[in-house]
Amino acid sequence: MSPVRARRKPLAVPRLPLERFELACGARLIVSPRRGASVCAVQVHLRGGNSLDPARQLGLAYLTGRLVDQGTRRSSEEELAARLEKAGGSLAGGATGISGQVANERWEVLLETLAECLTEPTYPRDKIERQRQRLIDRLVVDHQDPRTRGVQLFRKLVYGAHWLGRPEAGDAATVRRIARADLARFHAQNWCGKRALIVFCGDVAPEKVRRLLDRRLARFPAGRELGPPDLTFPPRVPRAASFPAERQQAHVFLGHLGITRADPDYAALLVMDHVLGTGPGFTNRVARRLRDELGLAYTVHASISSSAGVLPGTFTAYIGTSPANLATAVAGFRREIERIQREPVPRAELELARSYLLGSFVIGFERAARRVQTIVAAERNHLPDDHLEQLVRAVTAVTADDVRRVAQAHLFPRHACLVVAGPVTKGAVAKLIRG
Amino acid sequence: MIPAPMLHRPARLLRRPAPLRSSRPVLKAGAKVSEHRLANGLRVLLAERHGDPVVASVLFYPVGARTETEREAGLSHFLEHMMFKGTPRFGKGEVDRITTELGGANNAFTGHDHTAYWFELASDRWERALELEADRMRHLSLERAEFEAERAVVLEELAMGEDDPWRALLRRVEEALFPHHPYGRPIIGYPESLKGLAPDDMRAYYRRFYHPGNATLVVGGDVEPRAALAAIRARFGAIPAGKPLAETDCYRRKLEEPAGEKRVESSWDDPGRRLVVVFPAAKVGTGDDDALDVLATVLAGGQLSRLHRRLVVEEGLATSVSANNDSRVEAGAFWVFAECAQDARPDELEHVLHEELARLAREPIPRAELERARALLVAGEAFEGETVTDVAEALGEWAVDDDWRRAFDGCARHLVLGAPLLRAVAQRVLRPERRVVGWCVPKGASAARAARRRPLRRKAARRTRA
Repeated sequence: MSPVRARRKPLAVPRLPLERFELACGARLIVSPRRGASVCAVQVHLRGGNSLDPARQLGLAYLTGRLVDQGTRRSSEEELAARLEKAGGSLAGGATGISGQVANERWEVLLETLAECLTEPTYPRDKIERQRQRLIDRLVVDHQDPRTRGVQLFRKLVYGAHWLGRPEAGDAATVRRIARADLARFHAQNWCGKRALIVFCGDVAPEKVRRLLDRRLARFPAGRELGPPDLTFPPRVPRAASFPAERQQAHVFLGHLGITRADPDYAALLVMDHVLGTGPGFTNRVARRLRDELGLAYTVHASISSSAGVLPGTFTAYIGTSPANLATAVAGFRREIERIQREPVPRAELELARSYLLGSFVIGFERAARRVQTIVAAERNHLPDDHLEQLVRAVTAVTADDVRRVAQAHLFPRHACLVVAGPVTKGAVAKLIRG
Repeated sequence: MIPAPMLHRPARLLRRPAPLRSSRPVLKAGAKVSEHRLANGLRVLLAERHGDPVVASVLFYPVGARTETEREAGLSHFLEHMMFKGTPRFGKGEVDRITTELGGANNAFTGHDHTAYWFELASDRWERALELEADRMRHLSLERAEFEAERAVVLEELAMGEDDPWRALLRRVEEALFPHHPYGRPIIGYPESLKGLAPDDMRAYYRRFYHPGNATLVVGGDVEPRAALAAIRARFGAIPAGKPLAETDCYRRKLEEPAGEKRVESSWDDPGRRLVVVFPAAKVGTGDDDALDVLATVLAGGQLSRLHRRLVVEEGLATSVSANNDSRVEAGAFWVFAECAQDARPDELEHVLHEELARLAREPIPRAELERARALLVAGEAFEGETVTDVAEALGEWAVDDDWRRAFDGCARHLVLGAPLLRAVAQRVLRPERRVVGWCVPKGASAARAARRRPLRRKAARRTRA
């Protein structure tokens, strides 16, 4: 044993430089300048996403975003791609907007192309038909994939009829009902300035970014703000589902509705997660017990904080394991959850989790795209600019009693949903959930 | 001047540190890179870049599937797992515990030609990684109980791979591509080979290959080179040199030129039709390797690549395509992958794909297409060197497999390749009789039967574009 002594002063927490603007179109722009960056990145986040999908056309928001680069009033899809590829860049759209990156010196090409796609996509019929068919093909194949189905079933059990329980890209039947006109209409109604948050990171003066975007987004409609989100979720009661498939491994998802990022227990739950199921390597309990000691799995983890957002995430414990190990794995998860609810975390374990969290804040900000994602998430959750410093203070203050208290308050192992996808019968899953 | 009493000390304590052999720094991905060699043979690459307070330490050994006998298949990767199971000084779990306590990250990966262990830590504490690496380079415990527990984990990892239709197909295709050669065996091994291994097998392998004379340590990021070298020397300098990897350490029959097209078919319980076409290709760092990078980009790099345009956008035969020049130390593989659209015929997809490969061998690539591919390759370097871990890994991989100076060279190697040369490489490498064609089809179906079921749906399939 060679204990690491507490000999270092705490690391400075990175505070990303931010300049905020409100564009004429109503969009909020945040620029995080970074000297010497080789890559710049941008993300446009649009509120709404697939919460706006009609029930018969699930996947509409996703397809609207995916196909936004298939042609504009000024440029064909080939011309848009040629412009970006010459600069080694790329853009990709989805249900909640569009993001991209490029070698830093070509930042204008990226933003100009982005603005063109945002404001004047034409959804050309021939392109749309083919791309929609591609998506349907993918969905048909994914429909037989146990891992994909496991995730979908788990979300369905946890979120019920809430839109968070729906597949973001829809399914083959709902996507078939989406026509070109639906995409154009959805774009016209929902892609607008008042719902847009634009974040850019690169070695560019913020004012230059603002000027370019204000000019290029002059015709982006301001639109209307969205109303408050639906916060109706099913009660936490045990529910089970299975997706039988002939495979070597079964994918097991055990969990329930989680927390929002604004939850006052967030910092304590972050520490709890590291002790229970996300600490690196074998420093967390479920990896140490189920993987290292019992050899049940290659992949195993559990977390409630990682999915916390504007809306509640999930508490999810996951393991991919052989069917013979299913009962041991599920019992192992329950045992570890109940232990962290029952027993105070020993000092060494608590210190290790806190030490990791406090020391790791400086790592992970090298990529421009990662900086952008961090800023978008902070902004969406209304976190202050010094949120990392605040989190450091909160994590430092977490005690063993706090961890036990939040584990008791937020984890419900006997009311958890269980999904098993792979070589398993429905009866076996019903037996597992009864414990 | 040495004080007089010191002269009576034993010679080994008096000995001045052996001089380091060092190269002058070269700029790569924004980092000043220099090479050094300790007296015991440890090669050190330092990549100084101060953008973020982060340091990556990556230690490479030139072992992988290539250095295994058939009986040992999977041993390199299994050993990589065991490297986290403790030494007498740092017991089981200590590598993870210490890394975690420092707020860092660690992991490892095993390939055909090398195995690497990396740490990513804040720059005020990165040297701790050196202590852990230097210790486990020679003192791994390899206890039987831990060996047995980890074998179960590796078997679960193998099972996870077997549940992936692409991986299951590629395992069989690679066997056909490199028959009787370690490159034809899965890096993770086979259930039988893994179950047949004993701790003594691993101990012998570890002792043979894990030593300074066989290792390359890359330290990248927010470091001061002189201090970093001193720290490295303090931790690794006293480890005895070992015998460097020799060609005799690699067990294999000579790779033979393929005698004709081979076909492999597997099935899966989903409606997907997955196609792979692969050719034995170039050794890493050769002129052919560079040319095949360009050809892969022309074929499938970006939205305007030939295969994407024709197979996905224009003719709707595939839902996705990609290509990969997978060069290795002894022989590479040039891969092309496609997923067949549900309303397309597999034979039609395969025909058009072969047609595009033949076109590379027949027609010189037009200037505009070549410039697009070069631009993508050049721009790709900015992304490949965005983090110090990316930089350290790329430098180490090039160093172990060939020469680190080829990493991040602004694509100088690619920019000088003209259309005639690229065509000549395509003519030589991408010949139909050299290929292995693999299909994964829905259970109960076969690619051949699917082709007979429906007539070709369009005439345009045979056309080629200028």
